[in-house]
Amino acid sequence: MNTDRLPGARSLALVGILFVIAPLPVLGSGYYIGVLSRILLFALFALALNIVFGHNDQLFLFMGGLGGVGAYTTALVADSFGVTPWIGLPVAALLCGVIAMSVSWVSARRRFTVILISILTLNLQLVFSEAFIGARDLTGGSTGFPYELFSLSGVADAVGVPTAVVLYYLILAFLLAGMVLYLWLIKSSRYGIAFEAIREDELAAESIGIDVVRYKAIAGFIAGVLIAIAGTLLAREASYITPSIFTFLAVDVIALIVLIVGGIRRTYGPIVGAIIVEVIEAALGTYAANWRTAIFGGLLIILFLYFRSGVIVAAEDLLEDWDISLGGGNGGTPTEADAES
Amino acid sequence: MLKAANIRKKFGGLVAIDGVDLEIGRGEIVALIGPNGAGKTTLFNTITGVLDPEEDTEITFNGEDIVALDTHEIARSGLLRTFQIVRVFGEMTVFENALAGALFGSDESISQEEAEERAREALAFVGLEEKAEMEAGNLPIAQQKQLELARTVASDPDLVLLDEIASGLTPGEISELSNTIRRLRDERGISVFWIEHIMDAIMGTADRIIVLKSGRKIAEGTPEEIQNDEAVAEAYLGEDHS
Repeated sequence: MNTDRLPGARSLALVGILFVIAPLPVLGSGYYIGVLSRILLFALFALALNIVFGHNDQLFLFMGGLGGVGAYTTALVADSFGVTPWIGLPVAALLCGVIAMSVSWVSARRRFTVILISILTLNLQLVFSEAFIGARDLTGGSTGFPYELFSLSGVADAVGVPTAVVLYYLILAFLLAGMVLYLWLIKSSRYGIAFEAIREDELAAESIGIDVVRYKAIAGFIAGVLIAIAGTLLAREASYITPSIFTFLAVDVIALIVLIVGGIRRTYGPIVGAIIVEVIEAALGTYAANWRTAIFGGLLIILFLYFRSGVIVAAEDLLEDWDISLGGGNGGTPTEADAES
Repeated sequence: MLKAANIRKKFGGLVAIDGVDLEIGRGEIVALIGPNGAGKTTLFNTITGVLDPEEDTEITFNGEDIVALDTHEIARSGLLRTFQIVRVFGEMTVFENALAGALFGSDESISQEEAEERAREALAFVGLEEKAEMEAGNLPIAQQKQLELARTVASDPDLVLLDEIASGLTPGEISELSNTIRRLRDERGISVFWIEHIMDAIMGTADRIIVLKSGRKIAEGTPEEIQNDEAVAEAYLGEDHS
């Protein structure tokens, strides 16, 4: 691990190890593995949103739709060309990257504000949702089709664990890769500075020579790729693909809540937020199934009222009050600084 | 260096800039003055590509036609600006602000180390090296203006356009700033085109003054010539003596 090259690499390794051992106590329980997998999946969606919205001020509200395009494309490419989904997935990721990049490019060219981008992408979300239902020949309409790609059961049999466990580690691998990309992109490359300049003041950014349209398009592309991967894995986790997995409520709302609750523009905001949201969801599903949505809504109100800048920031403030520093002082990124110091 | 002929800019039926010609030579400090609403900032926005001028406008910079270029391309060609209301990146550190200028403000591709070196040098130039790790938004306004200047210096420009950089500053801060601007030219060979309301700031600094009124250039000359110019006095009388 070269911490000189990648700031925060050590903390990420630590987080990675925690997630690697997390399923060991519950290997036998498909239910807990499912909850853990969903935590990782929504951390991945929120990570994409953190890059494109948190750091670039482009509110993408078509993550569900785009994730769906990714999932269907992976399956359809694999199916129609008789190739492995390991080829279908990169094709799908590229396709979604290009779609998201086009949206970002057009929005930046036309100087859309964050509100306009969110309206544009929400419209696209509705279009995609309708298309998934309407294109029955390709998607099987609202009945969908079984989604058991990537021949994980072979690996599972060889190792002697349930398929869901193999899938969990597959998702974890993609999430950690996404986090490495994030650390490099935001914390150590010049993209990070360009993104921050654009987010704070587009005109000032342009006036010092930053090609705002180009950087926004790049952020869109990266988010699109991550969303396609997350969407594909989301369908794989459900083992069955239907349009209802990829609705605005099922993906975008949750990912946005995850990011805000965890902490926007925080390295571990997506992961912390995903843990909180998914644990609450799971607990409510078990103990208060009928009141789930209502209680979830109430809890969200409390979270937003008291942890407006995210649980991570609130926790840091609390620790600071107790005089336990997480080792801040490097431009507002104390979370990964703690392992460095 | 900067040559412009017949700059015209309309907002609907309103002619904001009405056929202005101007030229800024290498190593010159030229001030742009005029009553409120004369079109000074609009002129800057038109030159820097923030606003698109009317069709017959010709603007060249170092011999290159820049009318069709985007703002960031104009910046990279060596023509940078500051803003009337200071626009530093408030949540970045002082150093990161200067680094952003060094990284993106020039056409040459420079290494991270070299960019950092240039950023440090630019901060030292305006005397902000001690504040490098501070969050830029926490600086007092005078230092934010110095930082905005340092951000342009870091990208090694040929010409900077300053939009009322002295406004809101105390007399002491103004003379310090004027001093920095003279050093821009003397030590760095950077030309300056400078909108200013505060006459004390420019009278001792500018080589030449251009006076704009209602989108037209009504006078141009040395500070002494402008002080004795009747048309200029008239343009200002309505404001100052009513």
